[in-house]
Amino acid sequence: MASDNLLSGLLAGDTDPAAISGFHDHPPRMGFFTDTSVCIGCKACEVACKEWNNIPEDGLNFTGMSYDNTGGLGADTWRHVAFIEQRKPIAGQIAGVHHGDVGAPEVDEGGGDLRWLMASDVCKHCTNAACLDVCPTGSLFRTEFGTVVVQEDICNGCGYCIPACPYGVIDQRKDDGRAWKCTLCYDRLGVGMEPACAKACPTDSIQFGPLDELRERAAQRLDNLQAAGVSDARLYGHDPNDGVGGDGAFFLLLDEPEVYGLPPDPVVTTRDLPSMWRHVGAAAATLAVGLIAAFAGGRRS
Amino acid sequence: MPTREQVQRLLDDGLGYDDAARRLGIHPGLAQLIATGVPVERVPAPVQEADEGTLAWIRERAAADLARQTRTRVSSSKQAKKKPSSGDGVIG
Amino acid sequence: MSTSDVTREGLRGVQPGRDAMIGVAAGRTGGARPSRKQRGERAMVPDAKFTSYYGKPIINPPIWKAPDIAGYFFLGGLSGAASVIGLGASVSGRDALAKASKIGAFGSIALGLVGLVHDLGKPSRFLNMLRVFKPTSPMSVGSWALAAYGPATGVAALCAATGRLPRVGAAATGGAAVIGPFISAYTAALMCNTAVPSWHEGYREMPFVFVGSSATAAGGLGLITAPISEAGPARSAALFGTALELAASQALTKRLGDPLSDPYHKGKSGALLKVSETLAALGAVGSVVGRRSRVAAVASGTALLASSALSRFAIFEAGMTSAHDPQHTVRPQRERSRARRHG
Repeated sequence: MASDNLLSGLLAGDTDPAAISGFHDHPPRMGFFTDTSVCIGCKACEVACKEWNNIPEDGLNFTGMSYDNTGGLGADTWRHVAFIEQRKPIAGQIAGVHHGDVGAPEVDEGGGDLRWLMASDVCKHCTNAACLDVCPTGSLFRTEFGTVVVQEDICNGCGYCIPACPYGVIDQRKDDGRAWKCTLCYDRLGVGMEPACAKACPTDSIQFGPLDELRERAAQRLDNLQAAGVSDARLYGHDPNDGVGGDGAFFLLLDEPEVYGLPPDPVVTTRDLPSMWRHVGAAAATLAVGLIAAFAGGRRS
Repeated sequence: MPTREQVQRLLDDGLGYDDAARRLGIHPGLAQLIATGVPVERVPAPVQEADEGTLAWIRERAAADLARQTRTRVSSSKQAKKKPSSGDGVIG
Repeated sequence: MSTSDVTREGLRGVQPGRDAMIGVAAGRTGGARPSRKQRGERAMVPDAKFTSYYGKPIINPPIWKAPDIAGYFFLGGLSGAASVIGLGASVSGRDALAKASKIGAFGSIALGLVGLVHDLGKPSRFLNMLRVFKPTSPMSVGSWALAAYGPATGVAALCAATGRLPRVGAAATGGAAVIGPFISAYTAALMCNTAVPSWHEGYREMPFVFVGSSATAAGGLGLITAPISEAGPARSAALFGTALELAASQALTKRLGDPLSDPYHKGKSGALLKVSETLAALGAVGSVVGRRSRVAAVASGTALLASSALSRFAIFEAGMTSAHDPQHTVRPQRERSRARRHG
């Protein structure tokens, strides 16, 4: 069906989303590789992002979620550092929690195993971005760098992008009404600078650059870690064959994605849209037929 | 929007980033980012090499700490054998 | 501070910390005796357990407000079906039913549109809906459909009410009846085209649930407003709608299974759905049993309208529950990923 091809063309971000969106010529696709194995949980990324983008304060809370008092990504949090404390070692690491040999009292819970996962989460700038697909005003658009940005002078706060995102990234700013999210510092990219979070990160956990180079670097890093015995290490969002076509911002994680609050197998909702439209058509036809049939008895009784 | 090849071609022709960027209608910093993939504010920093003096100091200090700990443990266990616990109600 | 350089010759000036090794390769033994159980290669999180990040939801729930959006689903659905009934009634000489249905179709869509604009974060920018046409967005397609449908119902209602310009009225009635079924059905795609698990996974059956509910509502409206002699098709529409919605709902919850069908059976949304189904049954039976009584017709029609409205609110609430529960997102995805890995 012609509309199917149109739709599939629109949905098939492939690995060159800028080209699909109409940029005949464009710079290399830029993105983030966030290597959470070297994150120290300093939250410089959260601060730098809020400073650069003039994002309002969104709650001085005490959540009790380890050192995470931010909670999660939202309209006013575009970098979010997650903290997970676990009673298991990283590979054969000995956490050194036992201090019996210097006369301190023995702590014996959990066998002395401890590890602390820290990860800076961000908008994934998906190849097939659901937020972008469903935006009815054209506010959300694909930039020449392959990133996804909201035009705040167009957004009318319809809120469709918000439940569409499989990662729960974009959200509505309550006092403002519009949807806001990470822009991958589009303004900084335009003058050749790197995003604020990447600049602030002291350990290079957040790495910025052309996406293909980042993917190579990440593959190498994964190999190194696994060779060193860190079998839990895995890449997330790197695969162009996943349900969103791969992410512009991908990660190296040390546990299952859901431990970090990430979906294990995200799929862009619009992948099923062609089928949805077909079912809508069938249902509309059913309604029409059913109601016309209601008059089949003939003229008024 | 310029591709990497377009920027590179102008650079190969001998233009600097400023002229290339002007030709392409973009910011010179963006031209550099596109050509190299490296943001303009990255300054190549010298990699910290290990300093022998510092390492030697650390070794000495660690040895001294270990020696002090051993002395403390030995003397505190001697204390424990010598005196009864102070909680037996004897004053003075 | 990224101070490294990615050059054509490779990485330059990389801070050693970026490639910091962890675990055994870091050589850190902590100076303490090894733990009693030598763990060696630590296994990954056991598959069977469900984990989440402090129980927080993974996706963001819709920010839509139920009275505006579930209300629009109800009103839009009612309107679309009423437009078709309006056409059928006009053609078959049932003038009272025709007039009531056309006015009802216009009134409900107008009220629904008020709700839609009210729900926007920036209502003054509602016309931005017509900046672009995007087939990947049911909201975009629907906005354009409404832009044509709304005025058509208005003209049809005006001509029916005043009796003026009958040919214009007929054209408008026809136009509204053609677009009407789409108006009743597309909101299902709008709702299901999100990451909300209990909605998205039901996308095949939901359009049929929605049109069934629409027919029920329009039939109910006809029963309330038309004289007994003209109420026959309204009754048929209501019976058709009730049966269709019930069948489609069963198929939907059966497909969803565990845990995604839970909100449709349990909790506030489950209770609302149960009440809705009861009202539909009462209205349907009442419309047949009391087909010679105006009182019974009005009562049945009211029950049917209420049933349709409650059904939309119930399904809306079910989605909100599903969005808030990380299990709904994690478990089916984890199972799907596992199934894919094991071939």
